[in-house]
Amino acid sequence: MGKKYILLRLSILLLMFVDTSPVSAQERPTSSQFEDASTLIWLGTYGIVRLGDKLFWDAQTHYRRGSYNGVPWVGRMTQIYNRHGLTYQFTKDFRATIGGVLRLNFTPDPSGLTETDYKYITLEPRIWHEYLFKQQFGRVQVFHRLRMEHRWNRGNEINSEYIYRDRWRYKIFANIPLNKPRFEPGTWFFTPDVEIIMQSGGPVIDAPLEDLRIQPIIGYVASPQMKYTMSMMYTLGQRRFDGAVYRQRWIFRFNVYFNIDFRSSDSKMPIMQMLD
Amino acid sequence: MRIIIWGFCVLLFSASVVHAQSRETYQGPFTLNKDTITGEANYRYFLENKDTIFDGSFEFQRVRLNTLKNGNTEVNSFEIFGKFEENKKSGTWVYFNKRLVPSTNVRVSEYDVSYPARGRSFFIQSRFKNGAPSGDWTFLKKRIEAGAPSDTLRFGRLAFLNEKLNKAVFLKSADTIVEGRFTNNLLDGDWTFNAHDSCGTRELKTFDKGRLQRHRVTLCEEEITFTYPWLAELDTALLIDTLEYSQLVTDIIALSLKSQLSGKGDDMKFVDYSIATNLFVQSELKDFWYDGKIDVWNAVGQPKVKPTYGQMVVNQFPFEEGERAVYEELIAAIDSFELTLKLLKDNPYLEIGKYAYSRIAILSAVLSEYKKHTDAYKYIRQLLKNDALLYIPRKELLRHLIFDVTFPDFIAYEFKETQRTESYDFVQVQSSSLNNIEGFRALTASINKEINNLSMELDVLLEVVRKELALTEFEEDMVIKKDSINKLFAGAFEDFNDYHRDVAEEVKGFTERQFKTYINLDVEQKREVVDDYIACFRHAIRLYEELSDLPRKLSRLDDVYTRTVWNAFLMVDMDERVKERVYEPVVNILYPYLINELKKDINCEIIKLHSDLITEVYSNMLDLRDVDTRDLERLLRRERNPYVILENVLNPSLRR
Repeated sequence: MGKKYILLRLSILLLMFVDTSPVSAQERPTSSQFEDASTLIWLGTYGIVRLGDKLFWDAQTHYRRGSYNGVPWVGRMTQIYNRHGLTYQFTKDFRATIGGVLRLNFTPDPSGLTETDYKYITLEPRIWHEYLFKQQFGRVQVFHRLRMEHRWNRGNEINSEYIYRDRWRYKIFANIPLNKPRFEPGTWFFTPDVEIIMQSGGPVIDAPLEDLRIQPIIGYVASPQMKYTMSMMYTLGQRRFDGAVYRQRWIFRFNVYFNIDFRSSDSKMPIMQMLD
Repeated sequence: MRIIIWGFCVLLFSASVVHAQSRETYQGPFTLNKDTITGEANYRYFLENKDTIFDGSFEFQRVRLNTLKNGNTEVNSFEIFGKFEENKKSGTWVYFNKRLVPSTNVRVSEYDVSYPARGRSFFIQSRFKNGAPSGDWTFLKKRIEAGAPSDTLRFGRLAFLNEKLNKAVFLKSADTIVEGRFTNNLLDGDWTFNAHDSCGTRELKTFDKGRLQRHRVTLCEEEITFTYPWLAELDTALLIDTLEYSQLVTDIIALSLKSQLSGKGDDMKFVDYSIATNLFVQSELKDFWYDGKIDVWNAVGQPKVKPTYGQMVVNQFPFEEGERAVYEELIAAIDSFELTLKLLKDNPYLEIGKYAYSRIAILSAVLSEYKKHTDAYKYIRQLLKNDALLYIPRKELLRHLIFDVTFPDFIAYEFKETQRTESYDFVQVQSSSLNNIEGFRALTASINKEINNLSMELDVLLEVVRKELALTEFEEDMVIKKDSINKLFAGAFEDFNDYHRDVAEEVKGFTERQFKTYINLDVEQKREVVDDYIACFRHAIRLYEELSDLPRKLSRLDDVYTRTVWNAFLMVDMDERVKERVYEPVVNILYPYLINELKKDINCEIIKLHSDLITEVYSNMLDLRDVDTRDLERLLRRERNPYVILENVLNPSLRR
């Protein structure tokens, strides 16, 4: 009941936003505008620290750079991103996480090339919670992730005010082992990954689709505690001030995932056995 | 006067009251003295200083059901009853023991149902006076058939007067009747033994107050009368003993008899009969006192009743100086060569060896000649050890008993399926050697020495036979093992695996070379090394077994050194190698090394050592999984040298 119910609620919610998004008849543009794609690099660490039989601490960090002043990918520092949460593994196929995010947004013009004055860093706090479901089809794992974020942010412009928005994220991805029948150390895998991020809130007028992210990922399981992934992600999303304008990005991503279990050896029993 | 009469009455009345109050009747469980016979007793008693003093009637009965070997149930009824006077048996006492097996035929008489039984009954009736035997005693053993006595098995009657056996005694069994008399415990007058047989076998011994005067034995109309002056006449110069009528008396009479006979052939039947009649009388007399192991008249009450069987009076003939030593030396010589001959007889290689070596055949034939006299020697030894010898004039007796020792000039023996004859110098027998015990002792010592010399020579020869036979067996074993190794490493069995395959050619080649080397040795060398070669082949077979088990061991190590870990990102359990720095060098370097070294330089020591190490390393690895191996892991980090790996893995000091 749980999974289906939550998916149903989310679908209705998403439709509601789509249907009720305000459209200005007077200023309605004749066609969408697609900005040139910018290029970025996101380097991330994803840590899960086991605290108990079913309780984990989820710790994620990103180091993000982007194109600037003719330098693609790494021209300027864009964001440092900290996401933390407590995860509870209800079953071997379902877990939920709740926590906070503190993102540091760096000035879009670090060299002062434009006339606008920017704060060098602004803080963006969020509260988030997510629900992750796994389905197994033979050797292929399919995951559905629902993530809700409640965030407060502002532009780096000097006089910018904090605004509050909600993000509604649904992600579907699969893990397909390539060189082994199942996941074990030494496994290369492919992950098709698609995520849609909707947003709502007072400041969101005609741009509910914040981002559509598509990324094919290649990963490698180095050990039960460690895996690496690399991908080139394409994103497409509406600009908040003008829903007709779409932002495009190519983001090269490299992530390190690690599990840590600080408990005594005797307690390191596979969770599956605990759940069974 | 009236006062006196009244006073006397009061006193009498008081005494009877006191007496009546002190005597009690006990009825209940009771265990007979020193026995485990527990039953029900009913007796009168009084207490004196807290001790039970039997006084009055005593009855004891026990009925027990025993299951016999054939499954039948036997009813054992055990009764003893009589009367005590202040703890001392008095008057008639009866002992009754019945062992009856009920039949399946049921008898019904009015309202009673019974099962007629068969079995045996033993009845003794005795009389006592003041706790001592007195008056007539009888015993009766009967066979019971169909619920009634069928025939008398044994019967005895005797009498005591003044606490001693006196008057006539009558003893009877199914085939013998004995009549005699005692006077103050001493055998006295004529004692006749009549057998119920067709040829009128009988014996008469005439005693005079314990001294045997005459002895006549009639066996099937062959009658011999013996006189034993040393028994009949009282010699005041000698010590005189009064002996219980027991085994010693039987032996004295038997030896006396033997001294009158040639000691051989038909004469011995008189001795045997005399011994038999004596034993019969002793056995019958015992029946007045014992039922098997049950000391009947000491089962209850005090004082102890001493069984008595009559007595005989004899002279002692003390040993002269050195006489005993001669006997003992003679006995020692007989014991010695008898043991030597027995050991040779028990040696399994003698029978085989005499067909292979003519010398063994000759020695065996010689020893057989000596062996012919062993029975006669045994008889002499038994006689010399007999305590009865003290009561017999020995010179005459032994002169009679020394047998003719003769040896042939030639011996006949069989060798290579032909009968052969060969002259042989046996121990010289002088006529003087057979005239007296000293000469006989010297002769026997010579025979003993000769037999020992022959035995030593035979031992050497038989050892050769043993080794030859053993060698043959060993070689058969070696061939079997060689074939087995070839078959194993040729992949004839299902458990043949890659490890076997890896070393198969080397092991087979090595085995073949070893076998050829052995074959080219001479016999003496073969005897010395055959055990080593067989051990080497055994190690090779064990190597096969170790290699058969190696995949299981490695799989087990893989399991033991694998931990299952939950991967939170993939949400799967994932196996993880633990103590990789221990596991990897052992599995990937050390074990392959142990196999490869076999191929490089195969020899017996390597085969054994590496077979042992396969298991020893495995066992250590299992232990290492559960202990702190930080030190070991540090040492094995990036270690590629198998010697170092082996040394450290087996080093217990590297475990915390």
